Amino acid sequence: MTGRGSRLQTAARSVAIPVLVVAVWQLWAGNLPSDSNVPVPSVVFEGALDLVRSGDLALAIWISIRRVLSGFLIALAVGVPLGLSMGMSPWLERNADPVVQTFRMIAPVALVPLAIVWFGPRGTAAVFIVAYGALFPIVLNTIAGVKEVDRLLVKAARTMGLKGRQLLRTVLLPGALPSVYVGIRIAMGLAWGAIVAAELTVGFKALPTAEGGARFGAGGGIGFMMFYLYDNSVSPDLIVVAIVAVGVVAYLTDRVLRYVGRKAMPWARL
Amino acid sequence: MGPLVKSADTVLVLSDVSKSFWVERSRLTVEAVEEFTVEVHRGEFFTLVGPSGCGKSTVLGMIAGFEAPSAGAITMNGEVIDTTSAERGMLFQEYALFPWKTVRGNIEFGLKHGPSRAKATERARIVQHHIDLVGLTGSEGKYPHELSGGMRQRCALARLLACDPEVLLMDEPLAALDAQTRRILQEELLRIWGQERSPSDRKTIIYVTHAIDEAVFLSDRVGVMSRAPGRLKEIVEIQLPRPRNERTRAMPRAAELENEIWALIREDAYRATFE
Repeated sequence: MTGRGSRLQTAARSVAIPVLVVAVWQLWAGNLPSDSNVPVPSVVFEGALDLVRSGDLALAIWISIRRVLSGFLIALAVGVPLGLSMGMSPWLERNADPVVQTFRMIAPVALVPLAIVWFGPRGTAAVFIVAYGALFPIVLNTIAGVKEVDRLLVKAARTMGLKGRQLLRTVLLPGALPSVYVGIRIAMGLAWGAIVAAELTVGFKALPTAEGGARFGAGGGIGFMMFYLYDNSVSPDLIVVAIVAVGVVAYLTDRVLRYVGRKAMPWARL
Repeated sequence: MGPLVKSADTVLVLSDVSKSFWVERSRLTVEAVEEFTVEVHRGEFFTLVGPSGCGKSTVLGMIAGFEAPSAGAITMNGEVIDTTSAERGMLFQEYALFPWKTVRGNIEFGLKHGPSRAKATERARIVQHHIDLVGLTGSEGKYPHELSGGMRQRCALARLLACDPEVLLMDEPLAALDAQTRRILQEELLRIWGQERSPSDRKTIIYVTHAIDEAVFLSDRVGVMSRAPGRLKEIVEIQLPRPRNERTRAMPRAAELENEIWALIREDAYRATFE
C-alpha cells in the first residue's frame, strides 16, 4: 500500500548509495595523474554513452543474452528431469550423487579447452559452458524440492484415484516448483558468470573471425568485447563500461525472474 | 438393523487383519494391529477410538490401501483392497490441501485428474455446489495459507465429497482445531453427511478419533481398541436419536455411553500415558 510519493522516496533511497560511491570515486580518481590506469567515472560515463549510441554495447549484450538463454534452456531441459528422477529414486540419488557433486566443483571455465576442441572457437562452445554452469543448481534444487514435497499430499491424491505419472505431474512437480525456481535464479547468476569467462577465453582463439563488422569485437559478445578492449589497449574506461553492463543486465534478468516467479507462484512465500 | 439385512448391507469387511512393522532402530518387529475383525455397514457412521498409538490410524491406512495387512484381508463389496482408489476418499488431520491451488482448484482436483473425469462445465457445477455446501462461498479464490484451520478442513471435506467416493475415511480430522471450531464442525459434518436421511441414501464414514465425546456424538457404532498391539475390544452401539444437535450432547444417555467407552479405554490410556 505504498503511495506515489513514498515509492519515489524508496527509489531515491535505493540510488543514494551508488551515487555516493561514484561521487567519492570521481573526486579521488579525477585528481590522479592521467597515466594511472584508474578509470574515472566521468570518462567511463562518456565511454558508455559512445558505446550505447553506436549500438556496439547493445549488439555485444544481445549476442551474450542469446547464448545465456540457450545454455540456460539446455540446462533446464536436462536438469529438471534429472533432478526429478534423482529426487524420486533413492537408488539413483545414491549412485549419481557422487558424480554430480564432483562435476559441480569444476568451474565452468575449466571446460573451455574441451569445448573448443569439441565445438570450435564459436558461440556453441560458449553455450555449452553456460549450460554446464547452470545445470548443477537446477539439478540440486530440483532434487531437494521433490524430496521436500509433503508426502501427505501424495497420499491425498492417491485417495482421489491418481496413480504413477499423474502424481508426478500434478503433485510432485508443482510441489517442487518453488525450490526449482530458486535453482533457476542461482543458475541464471552462474550463467552470466560463465558466459563472460567463456567469451573472454574462447574469444582468444576466435580473434580473427569474431569481430563481425562491429567495433571493439562487439560481435563476439560482451565477454569478447572485454577481451578485445584489453588486447588492443583501447581504454580501461571502456572495459569498466563492459563490466558494469554485465552486472546491470544480470541484475535486470534476475528482476524479470523474480517478477515471473511471483506471478506464477502467488501461493509461495518467495 | 436386524441380523438378516446385515450381511447384504455390509460394505467393508476386515477379517483377522494384522499389521506388523520392522523397526530398524530397535531391530524389532512391532505388532501394530492384531486380528482385527469388523464389518462396516452401508451408510453407517463407524468410529474407531482408542488410546494413542493403538493402531487406529494404521487400520484406516490399510482400508485406504496405503499399505497391505501383514495377515488377514480387507474387502470392499467383496473385492480385496490391494491399492488406493477413488472409491475410498480420505480426510486428514493436517488437511493435506495443495498449497499451489486455490479453494476452487483444490476441490476440482480429483474431478480434473482423477479417474472419473467430468467435463469443464459439469466440473464447475459440482465444485460450486460443494463450495456452497461447506459454506466457503466467497473464498473460492483464496489459497490454503490464507484460510483458518476450520476453513481448511471444510475445503478438504468439499474436495473429498466432490470426488463422490463410496466410503469416506477420516483420520482425526478435527483434532488440530480449537474446541469451539471442533464443536461447530462436528454438527456441520453431520449436516453435510445428511444424518436425517436413510442409511441407503448416505455415505459410509469410517472415523478415527481419540475424543470419546466426539465419537459418541457422531457415530452409529464405536469400535473401541486396546493399546498396541491394537485389537478391537468391543463395539458400542450409540443409540442416540438422529438428527443429533446441541440437545443430544446434554442427554444423560450420551454421558452414560461416554463413561462406558472410557471405562473400556481407561486402563490402557493410563498405561499409554505413563509408560
